[in-house]
Amino acid sequence: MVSQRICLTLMLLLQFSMVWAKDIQITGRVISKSDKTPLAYASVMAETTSTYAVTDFEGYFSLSLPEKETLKITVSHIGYLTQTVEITPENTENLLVVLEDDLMMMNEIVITGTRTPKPIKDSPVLTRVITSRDIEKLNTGSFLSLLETELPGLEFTSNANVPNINLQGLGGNYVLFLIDGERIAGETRNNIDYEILNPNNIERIEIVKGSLSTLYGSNAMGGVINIITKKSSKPFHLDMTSRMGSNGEQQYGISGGTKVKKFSSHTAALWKTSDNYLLKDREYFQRIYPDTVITDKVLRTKEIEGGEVLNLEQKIGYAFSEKFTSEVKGNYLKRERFNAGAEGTVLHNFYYGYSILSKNNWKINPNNQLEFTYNLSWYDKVNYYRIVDIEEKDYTNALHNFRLVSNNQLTEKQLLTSGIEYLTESLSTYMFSEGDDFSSDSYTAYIQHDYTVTDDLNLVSGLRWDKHSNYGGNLSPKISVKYNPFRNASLRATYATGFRSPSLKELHTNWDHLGMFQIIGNPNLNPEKSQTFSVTADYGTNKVYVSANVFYNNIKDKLNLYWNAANDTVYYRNADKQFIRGVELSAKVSPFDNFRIQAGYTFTDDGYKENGKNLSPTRPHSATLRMDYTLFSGNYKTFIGINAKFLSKVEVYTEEEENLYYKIIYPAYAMWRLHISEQYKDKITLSAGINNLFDYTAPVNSFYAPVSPGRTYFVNLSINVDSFFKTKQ
Amino acid sequence: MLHKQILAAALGLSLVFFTACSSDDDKPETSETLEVKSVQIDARSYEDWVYFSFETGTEVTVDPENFSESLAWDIAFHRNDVRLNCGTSGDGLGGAFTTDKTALSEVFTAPETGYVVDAMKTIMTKFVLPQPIFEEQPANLEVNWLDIDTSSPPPVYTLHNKVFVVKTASGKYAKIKFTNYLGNMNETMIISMSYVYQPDGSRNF
Repeated sequence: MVSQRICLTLMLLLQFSMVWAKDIQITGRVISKSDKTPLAYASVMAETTSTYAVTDFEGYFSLSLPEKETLKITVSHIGYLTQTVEITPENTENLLVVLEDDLMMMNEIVITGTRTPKPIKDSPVLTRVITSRDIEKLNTGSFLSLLETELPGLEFTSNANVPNINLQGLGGNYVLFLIDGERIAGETRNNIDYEILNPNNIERIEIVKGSLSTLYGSNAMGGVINIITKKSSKPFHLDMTSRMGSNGEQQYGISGGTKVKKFSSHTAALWKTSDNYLLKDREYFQRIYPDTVITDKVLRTKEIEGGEVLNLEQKIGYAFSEKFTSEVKGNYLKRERFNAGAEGTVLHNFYYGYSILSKNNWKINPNNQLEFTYNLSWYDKVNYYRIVDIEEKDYTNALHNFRLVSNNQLTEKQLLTSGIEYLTESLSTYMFSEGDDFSSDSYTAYIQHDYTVTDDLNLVSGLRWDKHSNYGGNLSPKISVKYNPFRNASLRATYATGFRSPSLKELHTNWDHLGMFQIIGNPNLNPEKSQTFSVTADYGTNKVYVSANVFYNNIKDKLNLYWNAANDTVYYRNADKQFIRGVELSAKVSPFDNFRIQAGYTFTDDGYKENGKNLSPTRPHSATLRMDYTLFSGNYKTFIGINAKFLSKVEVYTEEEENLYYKIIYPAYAMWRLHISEQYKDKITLSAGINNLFDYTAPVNSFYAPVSPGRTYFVNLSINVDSFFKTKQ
Repeated sequence: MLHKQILAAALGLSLVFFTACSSDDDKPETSETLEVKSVQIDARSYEDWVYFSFETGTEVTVDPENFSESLAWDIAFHRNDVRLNCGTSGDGLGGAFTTDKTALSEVFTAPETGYVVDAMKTIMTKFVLPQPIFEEQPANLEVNWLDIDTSSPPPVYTLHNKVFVVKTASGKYAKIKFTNYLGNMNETMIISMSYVYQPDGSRNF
């Protein structure tokens, strides 16, 4: 006991004397340039040693460094430009480091394009990012409207009350949604259940357009949208939010957690509800034939379904050692659909989603690491008969995914990523013959070589091989190159391939479509394949960013449904093809402090034509505009955001009988949003907004019309509970 | 002192609310002896009709070949088609009148005249593709409670919320309202009907 005490005293003395002898103490404070508020959790790194410090709640840091004539420290914080400060012996105390906002976000770390973390500006694959700060600023209240507001060329319409995505000409089958890099089970008319995503719990969304099957396998033909969820990075954090809006919208969310030394935990919960409402046509529905127009005699109405959602997430991380870290995440979703019309009096649908993800990382040494991942995702659809209180499950989709990835820094300039994967999926659905369920599996090996040829030239190439239980082997290569012709400018070119394995539904369906016709699967289907060629040029400083992208996406062996001769049955066949061309332009500019304008434009020709008639509902031109302005006064921060989305007119032809087409016109439209928020000391934020500011409603709410009841309102209150416990060091 | 005033004001206010709420609940006087009954009728069959008697409040078995000779039934159902015991359908004193009301409680008396008796109607007797089979059968054309629009798939059902007054085979009155065409397990054409039957033969409900 006594000896322990002596030992401890000795150790302390020793340490003290070491500091006394060799080190200098550097102290200072890190604040933000825009609002002059202290930045907590900024990292302060000494340039030559591995010593670092983290700022406290009030932005203060202190760092002990060996004495030298001159020293440099690097200060970085997410959302701000990294700054290097030179330290002279005379000036070591009370340093003030002012970090400038990273307005163009070119230093955001992205992972989707290469499966290894890289700053956006260095990624050879053009990646678009929506950060948690963007999500806060946009404050749309739902994942769907968040994507729709922010991305030109993306539109959600309603297919019998199921959201139906169109990303520059490609639908739900061709856009792969991932959460933390992992697949999501369950679909309805080829779209995932977007309520699996809690917008309050998103750290960032990474969007890579074009094929990317080399890294992500099946379905990554038109793009990958990877949603990275939040983690705890502080000893204590707790946020609460509530929202109310038109059409009975209510939301209550809470998230919080801890990170102490080796252990971290993060919990997020969201409950929300909204009412059904009616969309009333303003004009009579018309079908336009070559020599006549057929006009409905009554104005149609369409009921948009509300519902209730409960979304829970728990994440636990543990660092067993400096080399071995583990993370486990569990998710639960329960969604109730308030079925429209008379059906809603007897039937509501329940949707249950579960997932478990385990990520284990072993840093063998600084140059080599191994990651093992297991993902289970499960989705059930249940009919709930309200009067008799009976739940009846009629759909279960489950997938298990095992992956082992090795990252090896071969030389300073060459990184090799290789992986093996096993994916198995099972499905039982009311669309199969009574009692049937089916499964498929695939084994995968892939390799990617990331070669920094010179400081200005980066080359990433990859190859993937899949062996699927139904159709056998498939190869998917890709190559990306990035070249910086001059400072702040870059050119990117990508050739990538994509594929989509026929789904279990397409292989095995045997379903009577509401007594109208039979849909029959085909077990001999082959995968659809795509080739994307894309070129991007961009230029960016911290005030201006512009980029232009041109792409071609060529899809062959596309699956489609074909009628039999008797016109009573449809079959799946690999007989279709599609050639999509597109352009995307984007610009961001910050003409003065705290003000930013962002604009995007896309042109799409999805080549979906027959006899020269356009069959595609894709709007050829689409644009977004976003203006953010922040005003600071004392403890208050006022934010004003304006968003607009513009979509051009589209005329969609339908073949009624052999060579007789009628068309339906979907007029151009614009949707504006205005949102104002008032924040007090990072503690309380009260915001209010108007969606669809100019009260646009579709004249006819037919199949591909935008879904909006007109102008709607919301108010939102967020409380950052942990900020009330901030203590000065 | 001030607290007491606030308390008194709050009490007063809540009293106003209370009385306001309770006055909402006042309904127009209706005969207390007549009760609203609800039945579910399985009218899914394309071939067969289901016969019902207001007097017994139950379905009744009727010889489908000679239904028009029976006075045991008052109303019959086939999908969204309705028969009353009158006109082409039977020798009874039936008939139907469409009110402009949407709640049973809003109809206090049966009209004296204006009842429509059964005639012939084209009804679907077999659902087969591509062309279903239709037949001319006796039915009531006035009781139009559900529209089925099959012009483009899937069929669109529109339930009319109107209250109908019908006469029974023996000439008594009932007011009826169709509340759903879906059964408890979402089966199309299990009909829910609410009705009030006046057994004393008067026109008052």
